[in-house]
Parts: sequence; C-alpha cells; structure tokens
Amino acid sequence: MSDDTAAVRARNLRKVYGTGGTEVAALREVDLDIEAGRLTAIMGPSGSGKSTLMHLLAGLDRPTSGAVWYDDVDITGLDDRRLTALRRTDIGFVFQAFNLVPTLTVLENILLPFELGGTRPDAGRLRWIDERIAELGLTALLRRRPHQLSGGQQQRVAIARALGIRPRMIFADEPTGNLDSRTGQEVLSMLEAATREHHQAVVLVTHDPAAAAHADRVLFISDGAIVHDVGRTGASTLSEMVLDLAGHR
Amino acid sequence: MIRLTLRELRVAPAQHIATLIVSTIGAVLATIVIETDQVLTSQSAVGGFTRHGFVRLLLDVLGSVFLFVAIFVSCIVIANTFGIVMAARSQRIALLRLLGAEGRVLRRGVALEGVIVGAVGGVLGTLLGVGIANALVAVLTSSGTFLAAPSPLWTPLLVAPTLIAVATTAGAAWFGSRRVASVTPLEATGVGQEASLADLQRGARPWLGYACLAVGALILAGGVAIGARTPFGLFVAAPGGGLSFLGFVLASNTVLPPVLRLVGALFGRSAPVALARANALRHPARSARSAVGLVIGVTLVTMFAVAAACFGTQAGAVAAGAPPQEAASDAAFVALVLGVLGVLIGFSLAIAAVGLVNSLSLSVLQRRREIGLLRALGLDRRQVRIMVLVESLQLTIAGGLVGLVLGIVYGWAAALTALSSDHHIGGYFLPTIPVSLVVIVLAAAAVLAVVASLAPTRRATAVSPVTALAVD
Repeated sequence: MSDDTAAVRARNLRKVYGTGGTEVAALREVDLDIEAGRLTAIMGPSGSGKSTLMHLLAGLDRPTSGAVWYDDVDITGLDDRRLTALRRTDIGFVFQAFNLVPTLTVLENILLPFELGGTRPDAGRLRWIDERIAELGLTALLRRRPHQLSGGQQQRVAIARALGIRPRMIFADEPTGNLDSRTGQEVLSMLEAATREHHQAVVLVTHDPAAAAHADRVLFISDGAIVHDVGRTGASTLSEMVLDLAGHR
Repeated sequence: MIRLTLRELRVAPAQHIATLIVSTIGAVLATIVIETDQVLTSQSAVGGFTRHGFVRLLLDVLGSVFLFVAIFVSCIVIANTFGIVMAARSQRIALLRLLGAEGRVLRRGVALEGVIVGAVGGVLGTLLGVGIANALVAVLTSSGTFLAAPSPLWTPLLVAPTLIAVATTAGAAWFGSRRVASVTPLEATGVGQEASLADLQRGARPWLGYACLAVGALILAGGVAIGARTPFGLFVAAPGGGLSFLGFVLASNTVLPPVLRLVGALFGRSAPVALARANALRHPARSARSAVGLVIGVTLVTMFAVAAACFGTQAGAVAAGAPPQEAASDAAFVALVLGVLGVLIGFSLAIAAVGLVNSLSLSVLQRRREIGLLRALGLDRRQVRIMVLVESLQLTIAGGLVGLVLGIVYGWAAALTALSSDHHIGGYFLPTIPVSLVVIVLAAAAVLAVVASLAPTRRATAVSPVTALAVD
C-alpha cells in the first residue's frame, strides 16, 4: 500500500433515520478518503453524525445510499458473513468502554480475533504480536484478567488486540473518554506512534480538542456534513473552531 | 470456539443452574417411567396385578404420556432459560460479533454448553431416579402392595434419560439462543443498548401460535373421539394437546397481556403498584415470558389433578360393576397411580418455580438503571419492595388462573380419552374439578410470588440512586 492510496474511500454517503414525516438525515452526501499512515480525527458535537459516519465506514451499519470502498470492494453490499470476516481481518476497534472479555486473560484477549476466526497466527504473526505487546508495555501483564488492570492498561490491551490483526483500519471511538487526562494522553501517543511506525490508518472519533490535537488531519462534522477539513492543529485552535461551530448552529 | 464454551462453563457455571435443575428433573421423570415399567413387568411375572390388563395398559400409556409431557416442558423452560442467559450476555456477544465472530458459530458454542449441561443433568437425574425407584419399591414391598420379587432396576434402557436430556437441552439451547443471531456488533459500541431490550420483545409469532393452537385442538378432539373406543386414543390426544399447548406458548405474547391487565387492576392505585402494573404492560413479551413458565406448571398440576379426580370419580362406576375382590385390588392400583401422580406434580411445580425466579431476577437486573432513577426521584426502599412484589404477584396469579383453565380442559380431555371406552363407564362424563385444587393453586401462586421476589427484591433495593447517573 503506497502513501497516495486511500485505505478507505466513502462516496455520496447518506444515512436517513425514520421514514415519512419523521425523517432525520444523520449524514448527507459525505465524500471522504482515509489514508494509511495518518491519524484522522473526526470531531463534532453530539448528534452531528460523527458516530454514524464511523459506523458506516466500519460496516457496522448500512447507509441509506452511497458506497464505502475497501480497495475495489463496496462493503455496503456485503452480507453479514463477509462483513464479519472483514471485521476479523481488516478492522480493529478501540472503544470508550474498554471492550475486553472479562473472563479472558490479557493474552487471550489479544489473540481473540484469531480464535474467533478459527485460525492460528503463524510464527511471523506471533512475532509481530509479541513486538506490539512489548511496545505497549504489556509483557508483564499477559496472564492478568481485565479487572486486574487500570483503565489505561485495559485500553492498551485493546490497542494491542487491534494492531495484532494488522488491520487496514483502526477505529477508535472516544478511546480516552473513561481515562484521566494524563493516561488519556499516553493512550493517544501510542495510537499516534502505531500510525506512524506501522503505516496504519487510524480514525479517531472524539469531541475532545486535546485528543484531536494528536491527529494529522481533523474533520469537523456538523448536521451530517463535513464542514472543516484541516491538517495537524493545536488544541486551542481546535477549541475555537468547536466553539465557532456551536455559535453558528 | 470450544475453548470459549468451556471457559464460559468454568468461569460462570451459575448461569446454567436453572437448566441443570430442569434437565435433572426431566431425567428423573424419564428414569421413573422406565423403572415403573420394569417393576410392573417383574411384578406380573410373580403374579401381581396380572388380572387387570386394562389398568396396566392404562399405566403404560400414562407413563409414555408423562415422558412426552416432561420432555416438552423441559424444552420450553430450558429454551426460556437460555433466552434469559443470552439476554444477560448480549453485551459480550456483541463484542465477539464486533471482533469478527459469526453469529452461527457463537450459537453452536451455546448449543455445546447445552449438550454439556444436559449430559451432567441426565446422569445426575438417572442416578436420582434409580435411587427414588429403589426406595419406592422397598416401601411398597414392605407395605405388602408389591410382592417380593427381584426387580432388575439397572437396565440398558437407562441410557435413554441421559440421551433425552442431552438432546432436549441441546435443542432447547439452540432454539433459546436464537437471539444471538440478532445481536448486532453495533451494540458493543454502546449504541443500541435500548434497542436490545426491544429485540427481546420480538420473536413473537402469534399467527404460528394460533395455527398450532387450532390444529392441536382438532387433533386433541380427534383423540378424545377415538378414546370412546380404546384408551390408545391417548397417543393421538397427547401430541394434539402438546401441539395446542405449544401454540398457546407461542401466542402467549398476545394472549397473556390482557389477563395481566385484568389481574393488575386488582391491586389498587398506589404509586408503586401503578409502576409495577405499567411495567408489566410496557414490556408485554417479557411479562408473558415470565408468566408462561408458571402457566406450564399450573396447567400440568391441574391437568393431572383433574384427570386423577375424574379417574377417582369414574373408578367408582368401574368398581360397582366389578367383583368385590377385583375392585379392592383396583383401588390399590388407583392409589398407586395417584401417588405417582403426586410425585410428578411436585416435579412440575419445581420446574415452574425455577423458571419464575429466573425471569423475575432478569426483569430486575435489566431495570437497574430505571430503578436507580426511581430511587433518585424519591421512591423509598419499601416502595421498591412493593413494586417488585406486586409485579411478581401479578405474574403468578395471572399465570395461575390461565393454567387452571387450560389444565381443567386438558385434564378432562385426558380422562375422557383414557376412560370413556371402559364399558362400566359407558361414554362421556363431566370433569370433576376439586375445589381444594383451585384454592391451593391460587394460594401457592401467592406464596411463590413472595418467595420468587425475595432475591430480586434484595437486588432491587440495593440499587443506589447513583446507578441512574452512570454512563457505563
């Protein structure tokens, strides 16, 4: 995958909830390319459509119209089985609620996508996973269970799990929402590093300007449309843009 | 996937206790039916009860019908229990779906849990059943009802209860886990948690239920008609009754809520009562699901009791036309049959109670946040207690009433089919309804409501108002 190839492309993406008189357009005609090797933040107030956009890009929800291309495959046309396989191999998730299986150890959680697919990671893949575990500082914690970990540690496990499958995309939905600000910064730095070092495409959905300041590119969504598309920007400027947007609504 | 299943069983075995109890009870029933036949065969060989071909035939037929009923009830309660377990697990299922697990594969894992729990329950139940049969034979022999005869209690047939337990539990687990397929990975993202509640209400198939109800009732009527000539009509009537009852269970989402509404109106208008009533009617499917287990139990109890009462009444007619010695022996046999019935009735009540406690616990568990909100808005602990208790009462009394009506119909039909061909009785007769039964069922329903609400109430009153504010 070269730098100029988009990891995911969305075209004319539209999502309408309800029918008839109660129709609400959550997303209107969005065009978007997500590049590999960049951390892309999606910002916007609650109800702006940023979560809807993420769900559509990840194949978790179907658009009313439009397409989401992974290479030359439009995933909006895939059946549940192929979408499931896609999530297993091409998409990593990191969420606000830490989303680890409580009955599994750290290592088992990290290897879970392979187990769910009924495959064994080969030697090369195991080495890759070991390296990510070391990178994220989890080596000493592999036999613990999620409830024995701090919030930041749990989130690092989720990142390791996402990176382990070497996905095309990682979606991080408010990954710092449950963390104190210092731990949150740590988690964001790790996502940033993963983006750069492993040429990973990462989408970060957040309403926190301090989090979005880690991104290489920041998209602002308002009323279901992309209203700003800027490069790396400081937290204070992003805050002003957020306030500005709120004032214009 | 097998590893995940085994881990689920090892880490959280408590979620399958209800299923284990039910499959054990089912296996005990199956074992007792087999042993009854064994014992009767060996008794016949030494000369006991040989003259009463009709009564023996009747007992064998009844035994088969009991087995059928037991399997049927176990299936419904276990499927229900697995539905509840899946609902409690839905968040985790959603996470696994998100990470790329196919719904079909997850469901197979759940069915495997059913196989394992069923196998354990089957073996346990067989051992228990043999123990009970041994004790009964010993008691009946020492009291002189049975002749002393070697009773081979261990037969190769005893594999059957375990096989039956495994098959029913696995099948019911598969059926009860159909919700797994409807859990979307989106639920793991924190969106759509409310939708999962709505999902729980779906799965209603009233039209299919009505169809089964109608066809089953027709077959049942046919069986009763055949019963006028031979008690083998039971082999037609029983599946018909089962089918019509299955129809009722499938249609219970639409049949039970009006009854719940009627019963709810009996409890007055105070705030917690109004809340309990509104809750029962806001999630009609959930309430129906809670009550239906009880309906099954009460229907069975009533069916057996009414059938036995009819049997008792009509046996008088048989006795009047028979030689005195034969009549006395008949009476002993009737007493034996009633004793067996009593044991079976105890089992079906146990099945019903397990189902109800399960359902109420879930109902409270799923409303933690709502209860927290009510507490924050000023509902005190006593009122929370009243709320849960009234909801419980509403369910048990509605279930009790419906079960009484259904049970009387089925019991009457069974008695007609089994007895009306006997030349001493000569045709159809009205059902004998023991008044004490009605009183006992309603009183037991009330007691069960209180007992079943104990644990959920403790859980509900422990909910702090802060729960309402938690994001989770």
